[in-house]
Amino acid sequence: MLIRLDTTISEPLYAQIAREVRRAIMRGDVREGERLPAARELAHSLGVNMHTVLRAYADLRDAGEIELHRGRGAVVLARETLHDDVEAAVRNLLSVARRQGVELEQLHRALDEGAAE
Amino acid sequence: MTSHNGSTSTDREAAEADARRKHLTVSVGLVLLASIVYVGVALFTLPDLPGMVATHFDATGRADGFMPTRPALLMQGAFVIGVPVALLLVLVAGQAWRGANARAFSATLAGLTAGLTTLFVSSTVIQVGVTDAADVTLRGSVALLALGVAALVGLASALVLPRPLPRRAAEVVVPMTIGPSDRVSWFGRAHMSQGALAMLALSVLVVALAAMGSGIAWLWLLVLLLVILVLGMTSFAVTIDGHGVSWRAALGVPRGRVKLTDITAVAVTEVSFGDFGGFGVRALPGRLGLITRSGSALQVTHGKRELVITVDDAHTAASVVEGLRRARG
Repeated sequence: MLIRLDTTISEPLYAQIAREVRRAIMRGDVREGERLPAARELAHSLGVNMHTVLRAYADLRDAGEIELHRGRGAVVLARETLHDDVEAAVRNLLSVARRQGVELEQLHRALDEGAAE
Repeated sequence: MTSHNGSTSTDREAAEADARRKHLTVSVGLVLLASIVYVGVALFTLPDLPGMVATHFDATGRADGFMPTRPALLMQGAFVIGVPVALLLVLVAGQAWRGANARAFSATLAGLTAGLTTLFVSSTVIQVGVTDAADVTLRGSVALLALGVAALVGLASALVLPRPLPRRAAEVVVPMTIGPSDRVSWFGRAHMSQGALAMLALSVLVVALAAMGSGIAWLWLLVLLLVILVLGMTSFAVTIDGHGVSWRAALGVPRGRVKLTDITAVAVTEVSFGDFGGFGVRALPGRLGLITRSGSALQVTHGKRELVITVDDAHTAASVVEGLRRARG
């Protein structure tokens, strides 16, 4: 599993970590039931504060992507699959956004707003 | 360049096939020959052997253990043929002809086979025409003869067998692009296949059953030792980051680290069990291997030493190490 952070971009480090873990899960680098590195270990490895990693792990847990256990650490959960139509719509949305130069963050906001309506 | 690489890899394959043929010819040939000699002697001398033969001799050479002749010959035969055949299987399974110790392995196998055969053939032949096996003495010279034959055959095999193969050229590593503001960590594992693990678990189970069945208490110690060995030798967690390359066994120990600043070269190399003489944490002069399977492995050179890990996706691992090295400048 590769975790890569860029310290110069505005996206907070915890969000970058969560994004990288999510990507690793998507690519199958870590599979369902496998353990993520311990927060302390990952923090030391990346040279970031342990609370930054814990925050990323908490976000992933809240999104239902991992499970956090005392003593057993972070375990990857089965990925909920979306309906094919939804998957296709997401791909379509992403390609349109990319063409229009819309940032991912703006897209997230737009989706949140849309869901709130 | 490509054609050059192509021809070296073909040369390598040819050399490997040649080494394989020679090692197998010598080993299989000697084991077959020994089997034929032993079975021949046993069949030929059987009519003239006493009903009970001496199967064990004390330090002075006097017979002190006896068995009915036919079972004794069968048991000795199983030993004389079985031990070399077991070693032969190890040779084939581990592709020992590819390793640095190939010659030593095959020569030992050859010498052992010849020595065992000499010993048991001699101890059978000296009992021909004897009425009471208790009168038999095995002179020290017979043991010396067996040792001499073993040494001679071993040396002769070493002379016939090819030199160890040169190490395979490592593949070129494409470094991952890592900027000065990037922080990169890679977590990987080196682990055995499930089939191999199942075999190991089975062998631990056999010893555990033996411990239970026999009631021999110290066998449990052996079981414990085996479990620790399996846990310590079959799975390694590997971390690559700005600190360097760190590894640790599933139990937490053994563990180790090569600092990024100490690394002088990174490569992906092909290994087989034979290259390191087995699996687990393998220490060779100047080379430490964490070997859990054959195939592509990450190779990190630090000074005059090398660390070789059969990590999953060795290519990515190598490209991360090389990228980190370059980012550091």
